[in-house]
Amino acid sequence: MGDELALPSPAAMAGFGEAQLVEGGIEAIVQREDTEYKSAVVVAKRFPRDEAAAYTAIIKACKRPGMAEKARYAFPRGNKTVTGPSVALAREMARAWGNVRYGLRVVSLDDEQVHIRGYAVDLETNTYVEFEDRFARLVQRKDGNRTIWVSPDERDLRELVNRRGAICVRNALLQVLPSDVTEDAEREAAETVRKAAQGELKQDRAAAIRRLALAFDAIGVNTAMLERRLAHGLDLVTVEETTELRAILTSITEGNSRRQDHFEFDAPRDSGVSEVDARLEAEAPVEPAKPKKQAKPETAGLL
Amino acid sequence: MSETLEPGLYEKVPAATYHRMPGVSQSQLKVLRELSPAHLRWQMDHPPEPSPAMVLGAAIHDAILLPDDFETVWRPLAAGDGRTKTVRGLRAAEAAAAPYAVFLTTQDYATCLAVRDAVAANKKARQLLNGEAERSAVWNDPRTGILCRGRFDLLGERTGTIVDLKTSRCAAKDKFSRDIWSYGYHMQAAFYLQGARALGLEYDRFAFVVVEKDPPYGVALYEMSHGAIKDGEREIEPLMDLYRQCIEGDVWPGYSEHVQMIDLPAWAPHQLDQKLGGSNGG
Repeated sequence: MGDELALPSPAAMAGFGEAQLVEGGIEAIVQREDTEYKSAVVVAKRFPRDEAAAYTAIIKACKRPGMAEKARYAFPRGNKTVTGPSVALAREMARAWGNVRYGLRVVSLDDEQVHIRGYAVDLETNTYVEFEDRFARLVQRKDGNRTIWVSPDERDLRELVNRRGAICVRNALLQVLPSDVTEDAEREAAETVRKAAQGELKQDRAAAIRRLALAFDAIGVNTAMLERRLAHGLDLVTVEETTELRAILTSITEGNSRRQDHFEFDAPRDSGVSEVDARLEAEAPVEPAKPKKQAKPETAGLL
Repeated sequence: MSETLEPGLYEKVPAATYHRMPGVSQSQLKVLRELSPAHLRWQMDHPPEPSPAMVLGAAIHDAILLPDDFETVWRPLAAGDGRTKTVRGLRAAEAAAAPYAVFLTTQDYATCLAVRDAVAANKKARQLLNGEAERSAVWNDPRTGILCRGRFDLLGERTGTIVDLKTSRCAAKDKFSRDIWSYGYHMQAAFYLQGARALGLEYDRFAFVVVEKDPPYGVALYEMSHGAIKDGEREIEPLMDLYRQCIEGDVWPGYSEHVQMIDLPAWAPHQLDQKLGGSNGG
């Protein structure tokens, strides 16, 4: 499966993640979907999942550091950090659990709004769940120091829909997949990340910190912003903090949260230039007061 | 002091009177920050005696901010060995001649004068300290309604700056930055700016005149960053809520009654790794 969705897509019955040209009109697509779905149900009935094996496969996947790092997202809500299973984990679980069909449909698309629907079906139990999202057909762009909203070109639009769609699909998948299995997978992934971070820091602390800094730099979060969040230098980062930062990285790259949700960067903490100093420069100097009398102690020289 | 003190700015309030005024002060919030409500209650009921360092600090404040009061209130003790009859006699005569004076050792008195002169020799320190000195303020916190009090060392009306005078062993930027965190000066800045806002006073900046107590009596001037003031506000908010709970319920809990796990500070294991790694490697 590719990572792009064909747009514009009038009926938009394309499977999630598949780049697909619309040929033969809506009826052909609906017919093909129907046929594919029926075939999938037949195959699912013939080859039902082995839940124990699927569970083992999921947990095993979460033991891989590469997978585990992407398995959880984290974003701030109020004073707390909310964490949860990521799109990547939901997809991996669907793959391992088996007989789960999922995808994204563009319900409508006009000049102002996009309406999408993510769905997931358990082909064995015929459990169908869908999640919808409506959003403005706009993307953020930098204009000098300002951020403005502009109408996206085709590529930007595809990315926007894929990003928002991935969250709809994840939510649908997590409703279809057993919640206890998801919780176990999350826990396993968190432990894997923690162990990996511990190992990485122990093996070569400087290199591990450099990799972390580079990963954040790639999404426009510099070391100063990281240190501001940590409230100490990056060189003092702990295993727990590394784990949390990895989850934040996943969250931002997946589009669950934005950089400014986690880091301060719009308003610099301290410009380094004192406003008070500028105000003092602008006013007349104050002459030293003339001493009214000898300031030396009255008893000086008595002994 | 009446319990129904009206919010406002008061001048010529003696320090001892200010400390008996109703309302929560920034130093009381710091007790909640560092210790517990039980410690605060104890301090409220048993005001601590000022330490020698605090006495010297008060004298330096007066020398710089209230020079007239300084000459009236603070006197140098007759120099010499206080155990000898001559010196004892001299000191008794001085005390009888100025019954309201507070006596400093000649060394401390000389320190006050040296510090005062060092500040006076600094052009921008003179400008910063040109304003209304030692104003006591009482205000109601807009969020909680709690009565608050503060004593501004100096209100620089022309620059819109609340100025605080600090005496220190070292006024260097890095050291003083750490002092800001350790002693909660960022909370003081946030608290005083909140107070000024609540009273409708137009002060939007907080600055320090930091002067060293030892030769060559270095003077440094700092403006508190916006970020530090915001952090001060963040620290104050839950402490105000805690104070309100304590006042409303008249319950002043101490430390947790449960057995708590305790560990080294978060940064210590890393430092230990470095230390052991370094010694092994070396």
